Amino acid sequence: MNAPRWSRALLRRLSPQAHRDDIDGDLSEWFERTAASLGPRRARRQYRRIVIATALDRLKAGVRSALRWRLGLSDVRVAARRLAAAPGFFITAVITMGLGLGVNALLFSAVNGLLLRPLPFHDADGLVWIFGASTKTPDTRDTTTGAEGDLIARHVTEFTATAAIGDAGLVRGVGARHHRWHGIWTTTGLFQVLGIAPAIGAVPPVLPADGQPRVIFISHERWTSEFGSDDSILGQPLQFEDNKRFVIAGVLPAGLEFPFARAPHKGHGAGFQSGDQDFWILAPDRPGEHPGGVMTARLAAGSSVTKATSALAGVNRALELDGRGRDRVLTAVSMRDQVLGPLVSVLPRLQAFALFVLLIACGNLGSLMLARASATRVDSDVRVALGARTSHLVRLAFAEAGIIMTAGIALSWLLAGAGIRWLAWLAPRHDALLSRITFDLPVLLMTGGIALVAAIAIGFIPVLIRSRTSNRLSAESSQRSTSARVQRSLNGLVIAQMALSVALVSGAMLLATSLHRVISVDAGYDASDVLVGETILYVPPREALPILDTLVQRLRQLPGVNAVGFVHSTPLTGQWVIDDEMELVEGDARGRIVKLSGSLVAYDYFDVMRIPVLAGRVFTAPDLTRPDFPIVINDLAAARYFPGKNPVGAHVRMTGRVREIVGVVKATRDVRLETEPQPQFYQPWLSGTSNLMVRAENPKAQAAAMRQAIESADPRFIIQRLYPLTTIVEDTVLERRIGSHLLTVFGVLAVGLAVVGLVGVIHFGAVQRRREFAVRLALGATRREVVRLVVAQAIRTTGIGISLGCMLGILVAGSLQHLVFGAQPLDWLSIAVAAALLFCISAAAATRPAWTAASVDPLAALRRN
Amino acid sequence: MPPRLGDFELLILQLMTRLESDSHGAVIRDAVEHSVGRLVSPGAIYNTLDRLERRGLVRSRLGEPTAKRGGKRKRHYRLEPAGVTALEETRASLLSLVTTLGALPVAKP
Repeated sequence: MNAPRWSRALLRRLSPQAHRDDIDGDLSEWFERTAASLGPRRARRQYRRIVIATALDRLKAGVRSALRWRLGLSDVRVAARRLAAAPGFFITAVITMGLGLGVNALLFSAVNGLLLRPLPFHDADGLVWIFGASTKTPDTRDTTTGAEGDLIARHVTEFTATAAIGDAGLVRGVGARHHRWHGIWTTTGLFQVLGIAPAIGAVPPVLPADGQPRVIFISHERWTSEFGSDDSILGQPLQFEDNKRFVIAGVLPAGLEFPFARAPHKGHGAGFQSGDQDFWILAPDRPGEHPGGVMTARLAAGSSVTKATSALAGVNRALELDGRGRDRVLTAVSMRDQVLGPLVSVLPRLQAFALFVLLIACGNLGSLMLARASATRVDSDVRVALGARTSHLVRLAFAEAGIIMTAGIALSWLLAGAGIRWLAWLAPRHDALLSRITFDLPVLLMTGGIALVAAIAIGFIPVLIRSRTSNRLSAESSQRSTSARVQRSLNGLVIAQMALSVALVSGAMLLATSLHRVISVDAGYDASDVLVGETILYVPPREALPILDTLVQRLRQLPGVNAVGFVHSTPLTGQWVIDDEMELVEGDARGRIVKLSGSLVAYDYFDVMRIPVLAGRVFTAPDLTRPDFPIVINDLAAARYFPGKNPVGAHVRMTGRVREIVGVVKATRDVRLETEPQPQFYQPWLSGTSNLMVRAENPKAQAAAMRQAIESADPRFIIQRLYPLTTIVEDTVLERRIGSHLLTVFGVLAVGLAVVGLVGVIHFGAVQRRREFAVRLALGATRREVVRLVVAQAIRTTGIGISLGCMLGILVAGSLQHLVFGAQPLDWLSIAVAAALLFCISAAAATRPAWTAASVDPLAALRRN
Repeated sequence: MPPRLGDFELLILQLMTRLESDSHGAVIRDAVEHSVGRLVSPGAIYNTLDRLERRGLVRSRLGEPTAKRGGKRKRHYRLEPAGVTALEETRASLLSLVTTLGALPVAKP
């Protein structure tokens, strides 16, 4: 009769290795005896009890030994002395861990601040935007119509509250100066949607009838700065420059930022500004009078964005059947996704890549510790010979790892702090979003946690080396076998590091080339050295033209100013998008009506933007005041609507009048850099709200002089912002820039760390093989041959790593697919270049330690051994 | 001065004086279990015996392989004179401690 099989196997595992056979034999004998006397069932039960007792004993022993390994101050002192004796190792280890932990702390700060932290609204996950669009362009985020808004507000049960909003601007005169207040108009539901209440005042149950002053809520900031926090302003009238009159119903909560960080959409007249608003004007939404607009809503409990979108499709169908809306599509987008945009998918990927860097750093530190443990083996052996226990050596190793990690954490915090400032510098206009990236407790805990795990893992390395060899002073053979094992482990680490580095570098190159392609795409204009002035001259149109003309003359006289023009909507801002119908009145296509977007420009706009004139002329000052003003079209419109002909001099009908086409210019990318240019027309037009565009030799340096010129042209000028056009170009590629820049940093760090690791490993290997090289040299080998030997070994190891890295690179490229512009996601060139780069750097890095190894004096080396 | 013995070491040495001179691990474990009245893991017995052997207080030898043990050899343990001395000295020191403690007045709560 045999003992229970599984219990017996378990007991063998739990028993001390030296006595496994003794215990197994004893208990087999005992089991037979007990089964004969008490019966097999009871014997089996008792056998199992013995196994449980053994397991509990092992557990107790483990806890006892863990408690015995508590670090004491003396361990830390000894470890600090040992590290001080090897400053090169210590500094390399700290920098390695500092970099690895630093990039992770930075990325985790970003993930924590942007993705994990909810938006600054009550129960923000339930907030959605509702956009309308034509079925032909379902991806555009446009406004809803009044009929759609009415049905959504009253019949869609997926929402508990809805509101329609739109942008609004008011001009307030204070003394001779004018100030612009920017704000929104909204239906009353917005308070309920956002879950807020006015700081003072209340939403009136019934809004004033048409013709009466409308209800306005002013911002807390305006209330404190302009009204001295006076409670008595409630119910008071508030008048603006254009005689628009309002009644103050209350004050908005302090610090309210809505729309948060990113305006819900741009274009088609909605010039939303994100962040704090100076006012909210309440608009009526009585049944049948819904104003439409961009809508926001709060999801009902149990509802979701998908369910809401289905319900909105029902609204479309109902309106189509009713004949009130055709070819329309309504979509719900969660506010979080709208605010974060592509960052939702970019950040987790970047965090994964940051973990790659950390893995490389840990691998590097691991190889440093392995090499050090092997190199300080004699020291450890002497300690053991003098009576030190293994537990003491383990404590020492942990104390060393702990000191390195502590210094590494401190460095990582410094680096992460600098990184956060760098991100803010990278995109100053996204301050609301990027200011959420802070270095706070969760980030500290995360870095500390990772460092603790790494310290424990790395602290065990010397233990592993010792546990496999005897505790006595090592014989040469045991030392050699240890070295071989360490060398194998080191090679494994180098392979892993190289693989991760190739993947990161190829990903970084893919994004960098993609970013370069976007930025250097031929937009049709030259954005450099152009200063944009968002100015408002709030005067009657007839008065505006001479003032603006004076301004242009003054600006032209400023030194360094080359051209001055105006445009109603600065390219790439999408502030306004104008679509107009153009009827062809000549030639074969006569009577054909086409829809194309337009731009309203004045003065030297084409010179400022350096848009090439391909045929005819551009506008002159008299064109501005002609009722039958001419138009200019771009070459795409010319090729599409006047194929094979010169359109200059041709006539078209627009806005009810026949217009002459006086010129053809090159097509430009006005909406997005990534979007192909479209047929477009230009019309001469100038008003007090046109944006000033100035080409100057050094726009930043001349900004102050320009500001002065604008202010002196007329005191009623409101200068909202003056900025270089290039900042807009940079803003439109924010996610690409963040992704590309961070990945480039990761790639450079990865390569740097991997190469440092490689050099260390080659050096370690060369030192271990010193005797072999000495013998080779003594037997007549040349130094060149020894160098070749060492480099060849390094190349073999890195070659395996690089091959694995190429495969990993394919996965990385796939994960970056949505960020890549104008290139195949699987960019073999990036992977090949990354592999070649790593290969060359590795080969070059291997040469120096190889040459050191080959420079050994054979006699001295042999004598030492 | 011989090294001090731990409780479990003392118990095993004490029991070994009563057992036959060449007892093996299973017999010692049975004796310990009877003495303490609970299950004792074989690993604990062998670890203690190992320690005692390293200090020269017991000596082990391997016997012949037997079919009963699945062809495995039995390990026999024998008390060494140094073990007897250590046992006696520890017993004496413990008894003296007990006597000293007994002579001390007990504070009443």
